[in-house]
Amino acid sequence: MTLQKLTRPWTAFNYGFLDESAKRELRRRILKAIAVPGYQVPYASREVPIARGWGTGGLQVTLTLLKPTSVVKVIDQGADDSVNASSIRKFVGRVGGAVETEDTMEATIIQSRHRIPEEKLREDQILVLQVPNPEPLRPVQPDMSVAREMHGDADYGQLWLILYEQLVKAGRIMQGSSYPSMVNGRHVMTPSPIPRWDVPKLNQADHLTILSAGREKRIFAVPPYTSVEPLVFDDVPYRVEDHQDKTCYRSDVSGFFMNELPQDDGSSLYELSDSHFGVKNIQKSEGEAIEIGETWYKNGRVK
Amino acid sequence: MALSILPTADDSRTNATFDELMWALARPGLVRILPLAGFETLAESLIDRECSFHAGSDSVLAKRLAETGARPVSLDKADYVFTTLGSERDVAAVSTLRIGTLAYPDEAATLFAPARIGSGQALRLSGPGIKDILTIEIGGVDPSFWPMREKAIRYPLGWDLYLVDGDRLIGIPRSTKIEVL
Amino acid sequence: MAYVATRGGERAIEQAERLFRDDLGTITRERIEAVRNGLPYLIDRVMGEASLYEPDLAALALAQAGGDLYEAVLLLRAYRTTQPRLTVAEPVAQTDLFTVRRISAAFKDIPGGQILGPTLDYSHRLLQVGVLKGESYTPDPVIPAAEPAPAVQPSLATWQKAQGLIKDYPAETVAPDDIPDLTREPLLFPASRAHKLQSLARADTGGTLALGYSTMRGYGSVHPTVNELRLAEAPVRMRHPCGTIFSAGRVRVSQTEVVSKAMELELGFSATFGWNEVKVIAAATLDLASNQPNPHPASNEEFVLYHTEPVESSGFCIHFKLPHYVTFQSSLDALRRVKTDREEATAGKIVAEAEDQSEEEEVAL
Repeated sequence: MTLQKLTRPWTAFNYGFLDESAKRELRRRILKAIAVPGYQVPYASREVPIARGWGTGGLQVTLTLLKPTSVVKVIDQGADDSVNASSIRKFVGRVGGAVETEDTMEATIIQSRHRIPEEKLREDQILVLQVPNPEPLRPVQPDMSVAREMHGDADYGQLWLILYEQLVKAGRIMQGSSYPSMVNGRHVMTPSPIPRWDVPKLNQADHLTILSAGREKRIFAVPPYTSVEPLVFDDVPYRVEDHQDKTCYRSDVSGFFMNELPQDDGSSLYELSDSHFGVKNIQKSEGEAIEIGETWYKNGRVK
Repeated sequence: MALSILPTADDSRTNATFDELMWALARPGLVRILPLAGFETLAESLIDRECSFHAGSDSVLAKRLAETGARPVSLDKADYVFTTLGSERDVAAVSTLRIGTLAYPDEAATLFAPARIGSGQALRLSGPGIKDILTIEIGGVDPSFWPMREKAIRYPLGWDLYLVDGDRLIGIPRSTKIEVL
Repeated sequence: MAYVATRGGERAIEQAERLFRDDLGTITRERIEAVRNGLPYLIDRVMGEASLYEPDLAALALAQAGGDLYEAVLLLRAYRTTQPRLTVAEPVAQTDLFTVRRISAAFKDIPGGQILGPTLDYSHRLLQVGVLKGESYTPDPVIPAAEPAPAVQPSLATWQKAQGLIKDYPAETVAPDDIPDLTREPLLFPASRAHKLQSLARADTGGTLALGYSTMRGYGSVHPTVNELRLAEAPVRMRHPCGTIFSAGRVRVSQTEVVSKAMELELGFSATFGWNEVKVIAAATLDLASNQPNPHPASNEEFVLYHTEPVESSGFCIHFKLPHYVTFQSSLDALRRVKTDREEATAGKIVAEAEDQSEEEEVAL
């Protein structure tokens, strides 16, 4: 054995930026995450050239999965052209030679912050969600070690209790996004800060979802055809945001999650949050031959 | 910053192998095709000096796997186990695989074993990754293996299984329920 | 194409980055050298937090980030993580350190002597404003001692252990490959000793100081005394595949032992790349504090190690500039629903009361 044999010719960076040993670690963790849906697998979480808290967890997963034939869509708040989404998409293209897309239907990997696209994902697609706080128990137990024991014992009583307290105090459950959800009947996970509107899209889905928190160093997954049930009481049904009847002022489409745009006169306009879905609808209404995929929501109701 | 855009042949192979490993586990029971047959290909995409392994009684394989930098250890301590399940003795040996702890169920073993995929014992699979139910046929695995697995797995504790037939691969994570038909 | 028309964000984003870089101008080899040679303590601080010892790269990172420390640390960490780990250097004992400064607050004098070395501790802090008027500032020359201090020094703790003042723990022998490496595995709690010291070694200087200071001020039961502080150069020795050990150079390191003044003397320890005394004193105090039972945050190792991580904490802090309108929308919806629910409930109550009233009126009639 010589030193030479242990090394290889110098290159500035690896394909996909991460080196092979970092990728191997991520691969091992991803497999464990898939084997135990909703369980938070700790991982080393390498630094990547974007700041922590800006999608480094999602990026590490995307970089591990990346190959030159990958077609990558990156969204932030539903939009492809948001500051961070475009920066991440550019980086992925730069280090991976992957094809960039804004069309949900064309993508093989969709990295997203805070939204799941409105068009239904297929069996061959992977959704990578960026996660700021992977621990659904944090509000009731800030100590991670204790929270971990609670997951081990499936001890979710305190989580139910705060939901109940909200119900008593406010007359309804006040949890906005990051709605805690039971995965495969065993582990409660945070679906990441997606709106309540998007949580049903994870239940018994056709696609694979990988959730990754870079700063907090935890990775978890929802394989296809896995149950994801928001924590609700039998007599208080789960309620998504009241966006069923809002109409997008640009595309005239209604029945999907909207961005509210406050106007000078005190009123509000609404636009589709899924920006490329909006673009496609406009293009179609202008007579272009555009294929719009099947959507999870139909007439503002999830099928 | 000059960045290399194209993967090397090694990059492509390990990436493609992992792709198959991942989808095999995400869709239990469905057959995936590996870029190359053999345990070494599987190992190079997954293990290194940060892991331990056990190669059963195959000393040639053990030597090859050690080249990844991973540490050879006894079966009950190994992260990754590569062994045959053809006899009752083989099965008895793997009954000591690590199953993790309730706090860290990921600290469990992954078992890679040769098998005949498509003929043999009929098994009905259900659980995450399986649309309704799926029936598969597996040969080359001693019948005592399935009841042993049933007993060993106390979800979320348990180990994950890959069956390898040449370049064909199926994954059976601990979350999969198996009914022997 | 109304959506597309309202975009144009990409161009603005690109120009924003150009604007930042434009302010810094062309980065030349000369600038890097000026940063490296003129600001060695800044270089040291950045190398420590980045856990990458390479003064040229640290100077480059600082120049590229325009001196923004967190950006510079991130640049270096992101570079460092792509580098292969080829081998593990031989352990360095205190007695191997080429020590340039070594002081103890615990004793007036110590075996081997107090060696002040380079420091501003005892200086008058006066700005040399004449430099701004074109008068160069040339410091008074150093007058060498008649006899140079020995290059290496004994360990004070070893002496204290021999005196039975400090409990001795047997040294653990760990194979190089089994040494836990925080950069390649997650930090879990309770943290291993190695992970804790590694985490403190690359902790944010300011954050470490803030938490260490809270302990020093009395939020905790630790009243530390600096047992031994060293600034030194540590030899980096490696084992060649053929078995011989060779030197690969030296790195500047700081280390501190603090000792508690409780019933039994206990040591807290910290070491880091570069010369950074504030950090190692604060970190050694935190190391000691986390063994004491008390309810303050600085005594909770999870709290300390998680919140002094410079890359995680600074990154998350600035992430709040990212748009959050979906999450905000989601909360807004819940808030509004409560309001309408209440209004509906109130309206219902008024109707009910009105009906009651009319019944009474009927009776009256």
